[in-house]
Amino acid sequence: MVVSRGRPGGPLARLAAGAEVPVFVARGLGAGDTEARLLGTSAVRVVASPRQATVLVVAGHVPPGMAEPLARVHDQIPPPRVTVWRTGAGAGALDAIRAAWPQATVVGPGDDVAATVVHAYREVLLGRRPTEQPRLADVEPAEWRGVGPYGQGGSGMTGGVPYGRPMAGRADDLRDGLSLDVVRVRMGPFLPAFPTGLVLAVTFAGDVVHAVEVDDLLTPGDGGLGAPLPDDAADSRGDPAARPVRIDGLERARCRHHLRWLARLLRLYGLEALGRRVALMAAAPVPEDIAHLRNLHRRLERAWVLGRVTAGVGVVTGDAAAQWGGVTARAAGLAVDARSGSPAYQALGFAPVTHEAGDGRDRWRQRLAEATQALELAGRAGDATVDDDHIEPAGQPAPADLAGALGTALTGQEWGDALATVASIDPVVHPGAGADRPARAEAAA
Amino acid sequence: MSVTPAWAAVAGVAGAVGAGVYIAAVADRAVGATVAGERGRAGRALGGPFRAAALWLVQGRATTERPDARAWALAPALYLGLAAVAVSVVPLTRNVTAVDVDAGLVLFGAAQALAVIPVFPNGWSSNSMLPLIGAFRFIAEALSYEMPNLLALLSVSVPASSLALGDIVTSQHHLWNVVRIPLGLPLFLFAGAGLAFWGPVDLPDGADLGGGTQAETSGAHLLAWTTGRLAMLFAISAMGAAAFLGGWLGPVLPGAAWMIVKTVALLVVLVSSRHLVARVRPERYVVISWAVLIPLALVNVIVAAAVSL
Repeated sequence: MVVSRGRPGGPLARLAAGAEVPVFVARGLGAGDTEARLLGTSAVRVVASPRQATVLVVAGHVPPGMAEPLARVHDQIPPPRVTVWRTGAGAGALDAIRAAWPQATVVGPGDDVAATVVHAYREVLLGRRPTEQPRLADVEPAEWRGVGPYGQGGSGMTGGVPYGRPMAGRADDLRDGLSLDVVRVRMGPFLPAFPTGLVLAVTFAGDVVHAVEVDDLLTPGDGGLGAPLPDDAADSRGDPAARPVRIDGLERARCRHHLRWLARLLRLYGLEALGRRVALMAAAPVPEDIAHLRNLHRRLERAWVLGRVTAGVGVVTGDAAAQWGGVTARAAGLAVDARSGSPAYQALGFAPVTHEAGDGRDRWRQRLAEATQALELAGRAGDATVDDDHIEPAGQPAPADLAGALGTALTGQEWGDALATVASIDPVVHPGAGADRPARAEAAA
Repeated sequence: MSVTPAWAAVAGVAGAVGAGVYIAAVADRAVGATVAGERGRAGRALGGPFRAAALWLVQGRATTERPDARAWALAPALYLGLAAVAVSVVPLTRNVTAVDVDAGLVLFGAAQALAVIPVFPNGWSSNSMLPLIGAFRFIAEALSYEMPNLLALLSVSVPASSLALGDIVTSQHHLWNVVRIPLGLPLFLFAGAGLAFWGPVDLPDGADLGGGTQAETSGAHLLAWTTGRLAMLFAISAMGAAAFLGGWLGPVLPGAAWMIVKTVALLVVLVSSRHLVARVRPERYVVISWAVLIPLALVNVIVAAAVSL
């Protein structure tokens, strides 16, 4: 139910049309640089909750499993609301979205998404475009199945499932022995700090994570919409048709990926303005930006509180770090990097950067150091190329047992720390939530 | 103790809170744009709060599944009301105070301590997970803010031998409390930011909870909630200026101008913290509060007593 107050086109709405546009970004698969572009636009404010947005921006491919969560996010935006969907130019991707979401504005990878967002926002506030109707019916998520005066139903105080949700159960406490009620909650897939497409079923005891399971919403199938955007720096493999791959392009993509990651992490710690600054740097880093990156690194190292709140959080070392591989392993001191074996990289004087502690702080230090190193390599690389076996993906690969690895990392942590851990590892989740990386399989095929 | 007509007191407090909220919103935007490296945004910062408020007023009110609608609607009004009570006891000049009571310090402290009453239902009433965690966080931590906040405030009453704010300002005639009791102001501001859950201590409404107690709030409700938080920051700044920076005391300029300058300076410091300092971890904050801040605040009271001898 929605109570509408202001009239689009009225004096209040005309004043509001000049406001910074509150945008909620729903990242699908292959969201590319959409979020970073919006973060880097001063006329736009990226918000943490759909309730505070007016424009919903959907980026990339939304598989069928994520369609209902996306509709739910859409309906949580208070009217007046509009949707802008940015998709890659896959076969019929634009037309399929227009058919399924007739109210949305669809843009391709080459269009200016920020300008489209601002335009759509003004149109709806000035009454030149209708506000979007809800996508889901306003009904109870599950029918009333409670029995008795308190509705608990079933047998015993906590036996029933009124409205389809179990009452809080009990479990031994992991922290201080005080046994608390446990509640199971699904987190994701559009939580802003979460990796794209990750859905965790978290069992909470108080605010402590008791257990986590990974839900897979990414399985491809009928009903998926949109196509991944071409600039998905997480894979940073470039055009599969163009082999071997130029190092300078690869390394610049790595720098972009790490900076986008950093912008999101800073926002998680409440540093929105600094996140915006980093997103601006992430737009198109060139080797001349190395000095700016070093400045940023010094500035963050001097930020005493940021160091304190990230140190010791989400420690992943030893065998666990080896299981993750990638950035997480290097942040724990393991010099595992596919580039080490490449003659082309060796000729550029490449040696993997590593850190020691394997905690949240060393992971942002690691990513920042790798971003700087990537720009240095890009500047020196000239037209050098690398073969497929020696491409190190910029994104953190998900291990075969993603659920187990996340469970080890998160169990027993307070929710804020658990989320910070997930955000700082930021695995690239693939269909099957842990199957081997399909990008590699495609490239080999 | 002079008696102010009720209408004048209400209009004065409303005007002061309105101006304070506007200045805080502008400062927030201006500092944010500077940290983000955006130049030439100052003009937009001045009009920005009005445009954002207009959007919130235009927005429809979306509701959740089975909310406690009455408690939800009451929460922001209550929070704003507490901020207004806190502002009302702070003297603008020697003769101008909206509510001139003998124990102004106690009334201010009471308004601060009651902040927990509106924050909890704001998170609880929406019947949603993340706001609920935010609400419980505040319950768990409110005492860790309130203790150093009240102890820091208490220290200024010792040299003045009074709980009346007029006496406290007058007692700083030779030396401001920020110099005489140096730990007081930082402790007061830090704990005060916690009670307004702002910046590094924005735990109930933090980004890790998707906005926490306000994650399900939109439209006019969000406007009221945001206004309440900024008003609370303004109340803390005004009290900080009166209790630690000598209030209306100062050369050349009239007393009211000094009070305004000092209040705005503290307000800018508080608002800027959001852009400069990362959010702390909830569990660590409680430990730091009880192991470091509260003992320091007790030492501060003893120091205040010693220098008053």
